[in-house]
Amino acid sequence: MKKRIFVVSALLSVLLSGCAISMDNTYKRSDYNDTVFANNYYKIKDKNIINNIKQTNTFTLDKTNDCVFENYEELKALGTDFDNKVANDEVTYDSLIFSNRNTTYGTVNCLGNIDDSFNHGILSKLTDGMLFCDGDTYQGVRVQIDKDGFVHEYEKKCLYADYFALSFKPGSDYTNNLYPPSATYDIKLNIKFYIEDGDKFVENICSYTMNSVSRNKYYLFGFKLTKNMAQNIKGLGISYDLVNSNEDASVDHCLHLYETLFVNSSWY
Amino acid sequence: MLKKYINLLKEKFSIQWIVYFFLAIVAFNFLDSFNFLIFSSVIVAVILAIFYRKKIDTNDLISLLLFIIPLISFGILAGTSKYNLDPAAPSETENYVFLVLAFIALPFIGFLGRSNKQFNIKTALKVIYIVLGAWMLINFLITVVQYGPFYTFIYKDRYLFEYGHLARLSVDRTSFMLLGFSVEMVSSEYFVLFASILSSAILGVFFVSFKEDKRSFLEYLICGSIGLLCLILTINKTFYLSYFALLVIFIFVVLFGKKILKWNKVTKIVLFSFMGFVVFLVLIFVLNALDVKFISDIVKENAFLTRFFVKNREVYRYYNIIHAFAESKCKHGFTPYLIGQDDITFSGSWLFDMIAITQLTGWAVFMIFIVLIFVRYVKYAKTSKDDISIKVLIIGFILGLLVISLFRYDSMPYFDSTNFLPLYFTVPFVLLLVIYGYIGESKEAIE
Repeated sequence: MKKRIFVVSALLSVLLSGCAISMDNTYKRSDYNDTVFANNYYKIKDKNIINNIKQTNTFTLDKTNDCVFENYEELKALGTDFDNKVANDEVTYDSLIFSNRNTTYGTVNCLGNIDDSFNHGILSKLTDGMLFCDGDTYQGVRVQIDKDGFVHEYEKKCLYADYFALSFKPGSDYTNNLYPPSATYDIKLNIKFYIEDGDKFVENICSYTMNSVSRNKYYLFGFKLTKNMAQNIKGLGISYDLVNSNEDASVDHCLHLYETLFVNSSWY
Repeated sequence: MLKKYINLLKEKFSIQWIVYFFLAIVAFNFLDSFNFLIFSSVIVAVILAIFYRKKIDTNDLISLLLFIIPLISFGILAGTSKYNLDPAAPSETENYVFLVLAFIALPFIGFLGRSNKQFNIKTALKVIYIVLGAWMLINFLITVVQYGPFYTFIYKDRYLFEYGHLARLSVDRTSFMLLGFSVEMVSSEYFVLFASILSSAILGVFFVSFKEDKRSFLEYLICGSIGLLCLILTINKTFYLSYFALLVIFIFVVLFGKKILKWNKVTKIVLFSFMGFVVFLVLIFVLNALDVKFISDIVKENAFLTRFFVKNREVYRYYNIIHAFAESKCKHGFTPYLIGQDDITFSGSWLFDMIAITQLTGWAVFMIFIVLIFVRYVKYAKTSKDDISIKVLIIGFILGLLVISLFRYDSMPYFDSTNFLPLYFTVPFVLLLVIYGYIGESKEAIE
């Protein structure tokens, strides 16, 4: 009898552990989908990472040495450097064509395709392969960040990755202006990788200043990841600074993030 | 030679075990494939027919065939409908052309069981309830482990974010179920359907003496309790309130019914006028939804009537379907389906959803079948020598399935997909068809 109970309970425990869904991140329909611009910022910084930073290294990216690209054409031009075949039929990032938001580049390389652990939680918006947005609802695609940005800890660790890419579009709260001014400014992007080192994390901040960024354009920014930089990435943080902005300081500014890609990466 | 082996097999092995085994795999939702059920039911029916061909009573068989004519026509219509065959249709991924085979084979299994004296309906019902109970216990435990108790209150109107999108259903409207070999998230209305049927096992407790049949008593009690537990786990505030209201009415009628309500002329008048009023309201609702000009003009002009008959959360989902049906070009055919076109969603009731999926012809045939279930049951209850507990459990099963799904049935039960699962593709409906074959006029009693 005892044997039977043991077998049954073993079977049950296997069954019960068959699916695991984190209940920490449940959202109301209105969360991050408010008509008030300021309520939609995603500001969550994972405490496990923030409280356990052992060391911070800052790298200023160099356009040539780090293979930095600012749009899709530049990525295509880099081509062989990444040892990655880039489809030729991609839509250009400058055009505001929304019908083709599921680009092959996005859907093939998105993290959600690489590992299922990226498909849960609100930041799965950044891993679902959707590089454009028609702006219908916030919940559809965008993650809106302020200058402080966010810090997110992944469930798995990165083993290697060819390059990092970020699809984004700058935005501002011009609710009262039907046609917002097409201001251009320079943006200093800070991409933070958190490398797990024992119980602690090493923070690698990669900074790059993009010149003449406009709110009317989509950008695909990215750079090559060296083996040392990619290995053991457990978390990602993104923040930015405005440089030489001629925008009204009283207007809330943001970045609309669409996708974060670790192209050709492997996670364990 | 073959005969010798068949006889040997007959001696050593009782063929009714195949029926029990079949019922068990159906009740456990084995493989979660309706096509598997279709073909396995045909195989079981053929095996039974081979073994019991001599015992079949021709009159009984003709009677059964007459009773399954609407079912056969429904099977042909549903199996060959555009909804089922059109690759663009948002139907299940499987193709159910052979649906009609199952609709013939399943009642036949029940019928053949009845023709055989070795077959015990009590055992068959117990198999259904116990397997269903075990399966629901697993589902109950998985859901509790994942969400915790009272999750319908804790996560009310809260959504999971999966694959870059907000989930279609909020957490309080989902549950976990073991479908085939994998655990999947389904809508809790689908979960409640099984829980409701299972809880009807508790009826058996009232008709079985604990002293005489301790085992059956405990089996019914445990299965019924699991069903009730599942109901308590998943039902939301509206359900709690309606159950509580029903309980109060039930207790009130049992305790004071005889004293207050006497079956005299006044009671009759009050009761019939109340029923007449309800019928009148339903008629107005249907005519208004069908856009009968005279009625709809009156309703449109009056804000209260509009609110009562149209713009009301409970009524609107039914209104929407009838209204869309009235506006659709092909009203009588079977082919067009309304769901997925012009934002028409399921109403949550098979009575109305069937109109949207199968249009008028299919709906009418299905309704005839539903009426025939009760006609057949009444005949069975009057003439059969079966124990009263069996009769009660059978009607409990039928009502447990049809009543709950009349008000709350999700025709898109899967969390991850928008595939349809109409009521006639579900496991309880398959079991109902077997029971439908079993119940019927008992010849012995007439003699």
